[in-house]
Amino acid sequence: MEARFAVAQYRSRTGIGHYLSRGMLAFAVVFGVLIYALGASSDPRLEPLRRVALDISAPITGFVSAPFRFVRDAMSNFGGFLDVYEQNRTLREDIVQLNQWREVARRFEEENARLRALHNVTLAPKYDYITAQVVAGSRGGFNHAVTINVGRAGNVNAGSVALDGGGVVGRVVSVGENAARLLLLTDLASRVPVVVEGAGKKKTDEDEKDEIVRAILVGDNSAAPRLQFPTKVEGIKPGQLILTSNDGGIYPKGLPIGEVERDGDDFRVRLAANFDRLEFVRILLDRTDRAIDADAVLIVAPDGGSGVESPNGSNE
Amino acid sequence: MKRKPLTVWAVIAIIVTLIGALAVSTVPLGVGPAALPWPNLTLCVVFFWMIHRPSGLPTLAILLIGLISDLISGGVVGAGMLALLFVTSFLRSGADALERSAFGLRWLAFVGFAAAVFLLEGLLTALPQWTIPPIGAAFAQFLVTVLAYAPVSVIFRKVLRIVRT
Repeated sequence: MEARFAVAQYRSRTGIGHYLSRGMLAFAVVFGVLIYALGASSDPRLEPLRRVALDISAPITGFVSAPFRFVRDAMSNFGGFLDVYEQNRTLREDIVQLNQWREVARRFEEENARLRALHNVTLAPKYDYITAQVVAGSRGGFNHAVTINVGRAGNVNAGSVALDGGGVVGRVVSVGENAARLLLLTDLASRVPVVVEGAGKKKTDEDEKDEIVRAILVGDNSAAPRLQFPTKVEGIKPGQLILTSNDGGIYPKGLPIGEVERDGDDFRVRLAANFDRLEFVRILLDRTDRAIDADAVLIVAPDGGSGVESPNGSNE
Repeated sequence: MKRKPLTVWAVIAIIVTLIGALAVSTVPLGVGPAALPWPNLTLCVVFFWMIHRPSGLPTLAILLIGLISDLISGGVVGAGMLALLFVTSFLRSGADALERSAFGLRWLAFVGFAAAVFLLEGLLTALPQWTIPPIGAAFAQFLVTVLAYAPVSVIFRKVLRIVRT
């Protein structure tokens, strides 16, 4: 009996099935390493796969998460019901403050309208926005990304910026037809060029003007991303506002991100966006027309005049 | 006693439970820094089927599961896939002995399996950024995943009547 078992074991170790499974494993490892190399370098060749995965998974996850969302909302509403007295008091205080701000905003609006009328200015809206629902999130500690239910069909592009009521949430990194993935500001791979509002204010009359202090907001999977490579450290203080700087051209200038807070010798940013209840986000749609629909024009042609260079290189 | 042969129903059960686990693992109840610790149910389901029906999860199926999981979670594509592939290749040789063992031992084996996958995936995710991220959130997810395995195993065995002939 033991001998028969040993023979069976020997056959299973030397049979064709054994070599086939070894070969399969070797193929899988090589394929896995190749995909990892492409994924680690954010290679665009993976983009079609990401798009397909987004378009298929978003509706399924949206359907599956509905009962979970219902339970969460029910628990939240019950908690809100218990806190109703406290919430009422806070809301009354907020109303008083908001009324004051409404008056200020109305005065500014009137003043702006007067100034525009004086200068005959017509402002073309550069940005539009679309509201999207968060249908899936990454639950692990390794990456901070969410899937939204608007994609290319809603004019969302890779690089579009997402905000909630408080401030910037992240940017779109992958777009399917009806879904897109947002990389949150807190993700390990997130890098955002920012300015520190008020950090470069001139101190003496000898200083010519306010200096703009730029820095990079670096996500590290913690709730408060790091503020790295500031152009000037001296003026940075906790509480100062962090805004997007438009360096690199992805984030529009001046969007609120959060406030500076100290972390030993370094600085971090307490984000203005509310990640606790991130159910809907606004996606900024850039309406700038970047299409090149004219032939290139030589400012000074070789013969001293000006001309139009056609795509085949000959001057017309 | 020997294993039941792999039937069409078993294959359907494997596919349906894996799709369910992948979908539930990305339910957005608090996201990013505010995310509640949520189990990686895909790991629980893969481990369960690797022990009870290893022939239903060949190496290429593991590769596909890892790839889909990476693509829908938005992490570094290939990191989770490689981690799952390496760890399951070790698990495959011990699957038969584990199926015959007591529940406590299987759970203990799952702790080691999940820890290895989390560690490897964490390393492969951090490698391109050349930085060590905070491990608190990943550790919390590891703990809830370990806790989730017990009900997953018990329910699957009862509902799907996973027994030996």
